[in-house]
Amino acid sequence: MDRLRGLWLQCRALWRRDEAERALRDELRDHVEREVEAGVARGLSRDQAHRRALLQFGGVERFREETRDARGLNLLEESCRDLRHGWRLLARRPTFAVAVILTLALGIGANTAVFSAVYAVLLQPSPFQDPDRLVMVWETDRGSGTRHEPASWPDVVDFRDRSRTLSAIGSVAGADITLTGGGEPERVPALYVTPNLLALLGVQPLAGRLFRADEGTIGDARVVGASVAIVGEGFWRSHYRADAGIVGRTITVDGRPTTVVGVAPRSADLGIRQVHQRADYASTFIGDHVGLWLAVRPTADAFPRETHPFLTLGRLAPDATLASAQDELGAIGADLERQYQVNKNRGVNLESYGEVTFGSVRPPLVLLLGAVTLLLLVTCANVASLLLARTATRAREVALRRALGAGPGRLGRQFLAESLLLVTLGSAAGVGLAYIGLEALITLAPPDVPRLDMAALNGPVLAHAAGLAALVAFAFGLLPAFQARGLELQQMLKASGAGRLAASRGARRVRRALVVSEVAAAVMLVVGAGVLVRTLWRLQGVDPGFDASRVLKIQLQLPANRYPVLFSRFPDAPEIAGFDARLLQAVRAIPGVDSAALAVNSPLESGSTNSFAIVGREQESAGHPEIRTRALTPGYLETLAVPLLEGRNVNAGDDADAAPVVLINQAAAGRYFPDGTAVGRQIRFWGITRRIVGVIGNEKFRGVDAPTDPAVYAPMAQSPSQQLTLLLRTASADPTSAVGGVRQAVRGIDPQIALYGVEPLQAAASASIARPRLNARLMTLFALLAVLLALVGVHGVLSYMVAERAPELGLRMALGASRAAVMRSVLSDGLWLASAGVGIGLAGALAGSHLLTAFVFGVSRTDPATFIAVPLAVLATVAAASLPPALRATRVDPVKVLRAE
Amino acid sequence: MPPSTPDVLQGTLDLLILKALSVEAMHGWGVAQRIQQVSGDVLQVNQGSLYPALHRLEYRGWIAASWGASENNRRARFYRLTPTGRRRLQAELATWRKFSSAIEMVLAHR
Repeated sequence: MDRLRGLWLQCRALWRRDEAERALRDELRDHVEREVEAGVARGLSRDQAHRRALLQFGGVERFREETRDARGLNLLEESCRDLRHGWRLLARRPTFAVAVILTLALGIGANTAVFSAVYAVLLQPSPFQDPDRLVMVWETDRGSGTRHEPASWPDVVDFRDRSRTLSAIGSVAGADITLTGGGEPERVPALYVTPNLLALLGVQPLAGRLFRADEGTIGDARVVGASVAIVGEGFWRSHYRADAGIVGRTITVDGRPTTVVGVAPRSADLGIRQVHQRADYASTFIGDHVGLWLAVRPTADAFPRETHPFLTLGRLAPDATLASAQDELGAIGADLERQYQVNKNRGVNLESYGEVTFGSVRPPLVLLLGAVTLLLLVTCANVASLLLARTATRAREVALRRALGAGPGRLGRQFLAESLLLVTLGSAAGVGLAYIGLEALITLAPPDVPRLDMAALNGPVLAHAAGLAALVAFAFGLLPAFQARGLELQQMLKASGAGRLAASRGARRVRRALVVSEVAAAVMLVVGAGVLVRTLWRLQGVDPGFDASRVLKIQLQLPANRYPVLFSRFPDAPEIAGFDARLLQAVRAIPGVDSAALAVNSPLESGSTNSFAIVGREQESAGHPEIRTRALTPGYLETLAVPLLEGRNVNAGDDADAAPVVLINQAAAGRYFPDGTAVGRQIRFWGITRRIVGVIGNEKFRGVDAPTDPAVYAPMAQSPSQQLTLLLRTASADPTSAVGGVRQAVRGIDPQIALYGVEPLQAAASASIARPRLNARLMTLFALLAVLLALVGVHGVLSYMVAERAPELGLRMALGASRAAVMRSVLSDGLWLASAGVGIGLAGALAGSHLLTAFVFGVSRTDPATFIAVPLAVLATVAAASLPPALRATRVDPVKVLRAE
Repeated sequence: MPPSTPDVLQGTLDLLILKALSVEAMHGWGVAQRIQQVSGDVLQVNQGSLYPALHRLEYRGWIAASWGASENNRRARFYRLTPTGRRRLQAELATWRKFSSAIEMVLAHR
């Protein structure tokens, strides 16, 4: 208790320095006065007494200093002195300082950049209330084997009314809408949501309010209620200059006046994109953030039980768990299956919303975090061995200071101050590097990583960096201090004049261990990078089934009110057919356009699926999974260089009046007509029987790493669509040169139509493997850095050892050892270190290879080629790094060395 | 200063201060006076060591200080022994006795 009080007093004295000084002065003055009075009492004159008192007291300053010392004040001043001393030492050896600072900057910079991404994506607080209680309600289809289907509206209503484990349930569907009324028509990323959805998530509006339960359109374009919208934050800022006055105003959505009731924060759409990706099929949602939230109150009339457009979210009731909710909804689903013919084979699949949102990005982020941690380890090992070597060369100074009475604590403080200085400078440089690295990371990363755009060097990230720095500084500061303990003056004075001390066995062993661990960590990184790079090569080597080079992709959305698809006259839609024909004619006339075609989906989009039946094999067809349904115009196969394998292509004659025809892909032909009799057979989907006229090659529309599903391609004229993808093959290597012409052509036909998704198909194709490419690139970068650092480490340790062994080597050569033998001994030392490192690294890589499971394609995660090639390469480079010190060893002059002894 | 007056032995000052304060709380000057008087003017406490020692003991928690009024109402910093200090004094006394008797024995040996 008393000790604590004492400590507290000491701290307070340090903190409130003036107060303590004043108290001390008062106390001393009091003392002198008493001494004077005592002298007067003994009969001295006042002057004499005063003089004697001061004399007796001695130097006031000297003892004030001692009192301050007792107070602990000098610790602070000494630290300042230590820092200044450290600075002078560093300035005297700039190469060493720069090496250490750069190394640290790499380690801390890479860590900080990756951590800032991890923090933004995974760690920062959720925008939602109790995010752990949110679940996705998927429907399943045992027939097609799909487990992530959006729900039908009547099913959602049944779930909502019967479930006790879900306290709320709400739905989302992508909205293809165009905003007009302010200059160019614009397609805005939008969502139809049930009025309760944002409240269910627990989102607070930035301005205005959320939807009321009685608001919203019925949802189908033809049945309109009062249209209300909430504006997304990003759109609000870019289009309305963040003016809160937007609330209450009317905007024109798809030609419909729509009242804005509120503004939702940017974070409110967290997970929407991932949900769309997760879905086996879903209405499109394009863009990074929701620009408009539109309230929808669906009806069973507009959305019957056989249509499945609604991505559905639920909130678990307080006493429910994911498992109990799954049981209950599974039972409800089974009831519905018995009750309704259209629900045959249907079930329910619940997933945690967080898992859907972050499930696919967690593994790569954890992998990267692991990689930068290894890199930091290499960095630390490198810096530690640099510092150790330097301490040894400073042995003379250290031993002298110890002999002059500097205690181990004092020396420890000195070393700590020095490494603090180094680490502070290194971390500052590292944070600078992290800033650049983070920018690059955000740019290179695929856009579907949730919240990555929020990554920044913010408080928590900087705190993490500071924590790392403190840890590193502490470790590095103490290491040399421990080493210095072992130094004795006598030993020192016996050492040669080189100012260097033969390091103790312990220190030497520590340095070797550091180098071995550096090599091991580097090998682990290189192996990981190797497997990922091989994966990337495999992915790049996959034939996507089409040629994307020189192809431009442009997407358009025709407004439903002026380009209707009426089921009464299906498939005749003269407005759409007319638009399609005029557009193709106009763009084909653009100079530099070799060919042009329209499709519903670009060859990189998986599009939608539908149930189908092979005429004459209806019984069997009921058990078939749904088939991918796609649509194209004549010219598609030429534009994309998709081969026609059998039969004929569709042509201009296959219009709404002609007999319905269809193309199928090789996957469908092989699966359903293995005997090669596809052409001429009939299949039925969308309620229309179509004759198969041709078989075409497989397009990898589900991504290059996934097998191609069976697909049918109907002519656009016989399956009209308001969603269009225009594909142009250009003569020029840069297909974007045609964009201006297309814009002009579209404006000439209908100025109300917005273009979006304008990009070279090659860019889209390359974006489709953005994630594996980024993984491979980053891992390679970290691995190369680690190898570089490890080489520096090996080189440094060997050089040091050569210098240390110079007398011995000189003696051996004087006694007749050949230069080759000397060189061999140094080289074998280096190779021994490298082999130990490689061995441990390989074992580590093998043990950690399961981390790669989620990332490999076409290669084993323990890819033998990588596991053999990497160690050999690392051994070779390490051998190369030990060559210069080995050569230096042979140049040791025996005479000089012996004389120095 | 008479040359015959020994400086307080290094390390014993703490003991002397604790002992002086064990009788009653007093200010720094009082401590010095007390030691000098009781030792019959043999031990002169060097003031230059007294105050650092007082502060050191305070930070160790063996003595506590507070400002108070002394005779004729002057402000002075009074030091008193804490319970920890009292225990410490006992320990130091025991050590000192052992030590001095050991010295005595050596010196008495013929």
